[in-house]
Amino acid sequence: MTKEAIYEKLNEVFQDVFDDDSIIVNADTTADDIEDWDSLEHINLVSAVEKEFGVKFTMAQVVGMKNVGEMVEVILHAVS
Amino acid sequence: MGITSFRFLLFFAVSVVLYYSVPKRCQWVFLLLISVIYFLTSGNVLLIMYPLASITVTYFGAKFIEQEEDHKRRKWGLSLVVVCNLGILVVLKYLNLGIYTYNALAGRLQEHPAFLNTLHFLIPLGVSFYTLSILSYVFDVYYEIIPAEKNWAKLFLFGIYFPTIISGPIMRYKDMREKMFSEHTFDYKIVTQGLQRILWGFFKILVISERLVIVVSTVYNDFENYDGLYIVFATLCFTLQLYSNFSGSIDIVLGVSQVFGIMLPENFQTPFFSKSIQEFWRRWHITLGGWLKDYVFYPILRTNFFMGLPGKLKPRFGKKTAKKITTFSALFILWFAVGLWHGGAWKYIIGSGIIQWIYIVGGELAEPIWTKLRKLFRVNKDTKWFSIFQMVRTFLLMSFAFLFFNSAGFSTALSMIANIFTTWNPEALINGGLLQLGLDIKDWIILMISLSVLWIISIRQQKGSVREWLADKNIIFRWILLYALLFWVILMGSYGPGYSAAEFIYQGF
Amino acid sequence: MNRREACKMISFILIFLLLLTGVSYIVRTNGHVKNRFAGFYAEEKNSIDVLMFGASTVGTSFSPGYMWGEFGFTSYPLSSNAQRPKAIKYLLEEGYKYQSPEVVVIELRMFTYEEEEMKADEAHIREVTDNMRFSLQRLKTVRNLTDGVEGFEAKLPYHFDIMKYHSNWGMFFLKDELQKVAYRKADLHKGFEHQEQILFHDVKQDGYVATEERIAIPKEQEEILRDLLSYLKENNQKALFVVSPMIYDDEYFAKMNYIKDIVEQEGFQYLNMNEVLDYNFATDFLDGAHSNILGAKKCSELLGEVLSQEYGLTDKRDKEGYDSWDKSYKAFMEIYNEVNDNKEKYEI
Repeated sequence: MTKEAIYEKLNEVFQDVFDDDSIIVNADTTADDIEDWDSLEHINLVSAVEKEFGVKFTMAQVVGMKNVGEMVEVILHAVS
Repeated sequence: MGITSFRFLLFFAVSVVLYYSVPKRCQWVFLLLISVIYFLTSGNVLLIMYPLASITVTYFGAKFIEQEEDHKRRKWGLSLVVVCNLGILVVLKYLNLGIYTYNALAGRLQEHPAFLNTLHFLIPLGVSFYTLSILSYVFDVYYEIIPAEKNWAKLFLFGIYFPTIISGPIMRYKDMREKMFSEHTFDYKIVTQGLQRILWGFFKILVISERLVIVVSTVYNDFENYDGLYIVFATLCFTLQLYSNFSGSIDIVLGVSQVFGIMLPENFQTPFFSKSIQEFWRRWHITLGGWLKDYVFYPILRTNFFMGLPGKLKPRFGKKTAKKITTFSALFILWFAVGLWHGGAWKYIIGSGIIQWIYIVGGELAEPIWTKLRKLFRVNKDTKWFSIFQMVRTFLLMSFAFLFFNSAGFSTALSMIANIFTTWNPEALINGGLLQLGLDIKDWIILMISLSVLWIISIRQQKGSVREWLADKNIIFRWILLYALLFWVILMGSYGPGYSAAEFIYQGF
Repeated sequence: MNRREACKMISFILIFLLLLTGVSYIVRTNGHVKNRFAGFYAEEKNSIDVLMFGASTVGTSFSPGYMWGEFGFTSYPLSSNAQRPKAIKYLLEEGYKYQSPEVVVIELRMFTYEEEEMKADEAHIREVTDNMRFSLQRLKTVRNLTDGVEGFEAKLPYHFDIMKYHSNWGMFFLKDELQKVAYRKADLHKGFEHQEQILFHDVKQDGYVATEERIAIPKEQEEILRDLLSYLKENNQKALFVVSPMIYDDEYFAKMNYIKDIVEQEGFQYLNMNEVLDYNFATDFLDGAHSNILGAKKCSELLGEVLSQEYGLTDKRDKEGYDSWDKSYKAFMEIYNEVNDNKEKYEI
C-alpha cells in the first residue's frame, strides 16, 4: 500500500471517529490539532484504524505514537 | 519521619552533602542505602519484607517474561507477578472492606448473624504507591516498551526511593532509568531551584494546610452541632486543605529529588483552573490517572470483550450510542478502580470513584443540552466569565465529592449531606460563628493572605515556571523574596510545641 | 560548583542565620526577665562590680539603682523566677564572658526544692535559657538544664526557642521588643523589678523568730551547692550567700541553717536578712515572699552596706560615665517616694 492511499483512508477514519467531514491529517498532526482527540477518543481512534487496515498495534505502539506520521509508519510496516 | 519535621530536614541535609561527595558512579547506591534507612526508620523494621518480596518477585518475573517466547507463558508470568503484588495490596488494605460488607449484609439477612472479625495489619510505608510503580515496570517489559533490568539493586532503588515512597508520584521505569542511575554533578541552579520548591511545599503545608485542618476537623468531628452551612464551609476548606497538603508534599518530594539531580514527574498542574472534571483529573494526581489509563483503561478497551461490544450493541442502540455505552462501561471499571485505590471503604469508592464517573458521564450526556441552553440564553463559551464559571463549578463539584473522602464513613457522609439540605443557617456566616471553629481572626487573616499568594503564584504558573522568572531577577530582589517566604513560613507556620501536626493525609496509602 | 556559587550559598545561609537570630530574639516572650537580661548584655564590658543570682526575690528585693545611689558600686541581677540552682553556675559562666565582678551574690531560696520538680518545670527552665544570647555557653546551658526532657525532638525547641515562640510575631509591632533584635537593650532599672503594691499580711506581727535547728536540703541541691562553691573557689570569686525576707516556717529556716554551715565551712559569707533587717511585715511585702519597693529599699540598704563595707568596693559616684546609673537611682527614688507618701493608694 502506498503512503498516499494510507493517508486517504486515514482521513476517512478520522472524519468518522470525530464526526467531522473536514478533517484532513498529515504527518505532523497530533492530538492537539483535533478537538475531542483526548485519551478517551485515542483508543477509539486506534481501534478504528486497526479495523480499517486489518492490523493490530502492540501496547507499546499505541502508547508510543506521537503524531499521525508515526502512526502511518507503523501501518506501513504492518501492511507491507 | 514526617517530611515537614526537623529530623527529616537534617536527614536530607546530611544526605545531600554526602551524595555530592561520594564517587559519582556510587551515587545511586548511596541513594539506595539512605532510602533503606528511611524505610526502616518509618515503622516496624520487619515491614521492609513487603517491598523486598514485591520487588524481587517482579524482578525475576520481568526477566522471565523478557526471555520467554511463548505468548501464553509470558502471560502467565505477568499474571503471577501482578497477582503477587496486587494480592499483597488487597490483603493489607481491602480485606477489611470485604469483611465490613459481609458483616453489613449478614446483619441484614441473617437471623443470628455470625460476624467476622476485621483483621489488623501493619501497613508498609507507601505500599499503594510503590506497588503501582513496580507493576508499571513489569507491564512495560511485557509490552516490550523497555528491556528488563538486569541489576536487582537498581530495581530495588526504583521501588523504595525515599522521596517517592511517602506520597508518590507514581514513577515509570522507562523515564526514571536514565535519571536515577546516571552520574550527577552538582548544578547550582538545579539544586537551588529544588530548594526553592521545598520551601514552597513547606509554605503550603505548614501555613495553609495545617491551619485549615483545624477548621475542618472541628466541624467534621461534630457536625451535629456545626451543621448546615458550617458543613458546606468546612467542606470547601477541606478541598483547599487537601490540595495544599497533597500538592505541598509533592513539592517537597520533587524538590528533594531535584536537589539530587533526579527530576520526577509532575503530579499537579493547578487543578482548580480546570474547566471540566475530565480536565481536572488530567491535572490532579496526574501520575495515578496516567497509570490507570495506560495499564487498566487501555488494556480493558483492547480486550476482545470490549472491542466486540460496540458491534453487539449497534443493532439495538445505533453506532454512536453503542460506542458511548462501551466507553462508559470501561470508564466505570476505571473509576471504580480509582476509588478503590484510595481506600478499602465505600466512602472512597464512591467519593473518589463512582461520583467522578457520574460527573464525567453526566457531563458527556448533558453536553447537547448545555449547548442548546447556551444558544438560547446567548451565553458565549469563550468569555473569561464563562471560564470562571466553569472553574468555580469544578471546585464545587470536587468539594462535594471530597465530603465523602473526608467523612468518617459513607453513611456519615449521607447524614452530613442530608443535614446541609435540611438546616438553613446563613446567620453563621455573619454572626461570628466562623470564628468559633478553632481559628481566631488573626489566623484567618494569615490564611487569607497566604491563599492569595498561592492563588497569584498559581495564575503566574500558567504562563511558565515561576522559579525561572525568579532566576532572571537580580540577586537582591530574589533573596528578599526568598527570605520573606522563608520567614513567613517560620513565623506563621503551624508547628512546634503546642501544635500537633495533622497526619499527612495520603500517608496511610 | 564554582567559587562564586559557593560564596552565594554560604552568604545566603549566613545571612539567614543572622536574620533568624534577630527574629528569635524579638519574638521571645516579653516581660521583666527579658528586659533584665537584654539589659545585662547592653551594659559596658567589665563595668559591673556585683552579679546577683537566684529566684524572683532577687529581682524585687535588690535595686542596683538604689545601691549605686547610696554606695557607689554597680550591680546587676541575673536572676529569674524560680531559678533552678543548677542554672547558677552556667549563668555565672555566661556572666564572666562580659563582666568581672568583685562579688557574686546568691539567694538561697531555691536550694530547698526537689530536683525532680525543677527538672520538669519547663516554664522556669526556659526563663533562663530563653533569655540568653545564642552562644556555645547557651548550648551548654540548655543541654544541662534539659536533663528532664526526653528525646531529640523535645529538646530542639529549647535550643531553637523560635520553634515555641514563632507565633509571637505580634512582637514586631512593639517598639520595645523590636529594639531587642540584637538582645542588647539597656534597662532603666538595671534589671530591678519594682513592685508598688502593699499587701497587708496577716502575719506574725512579732516578725522573725530565729531557730537553731538544722534540716538537710535535698541531696542533689547539696551536691549542686558544693559544686558551685568549689567553682567559686577555683575562680577566686568572693561570694555572699543571702536569705531574703520571707514569711516561712521554721522548717525553711532550719534548712537555711544547714546551708549556712556548708557555706561558712568553705569560707564564704552567709547573711540571713531576716535576722538583721528591720522589716515591716505589714508594709514591706508585695506578698509573703517578695518585697515591694518599700521593702526593697530596706533590703538594698542592707545589702549595699554589707557589700561596700566588707568587700572593698570603691565608691565611683564622682566618676564620669555613670549617667545611666544616676538615672536608675533617680527612677527608683521617684517610685519609692510616690509609694511611701501615698501608702493608702497602694494597699491591696
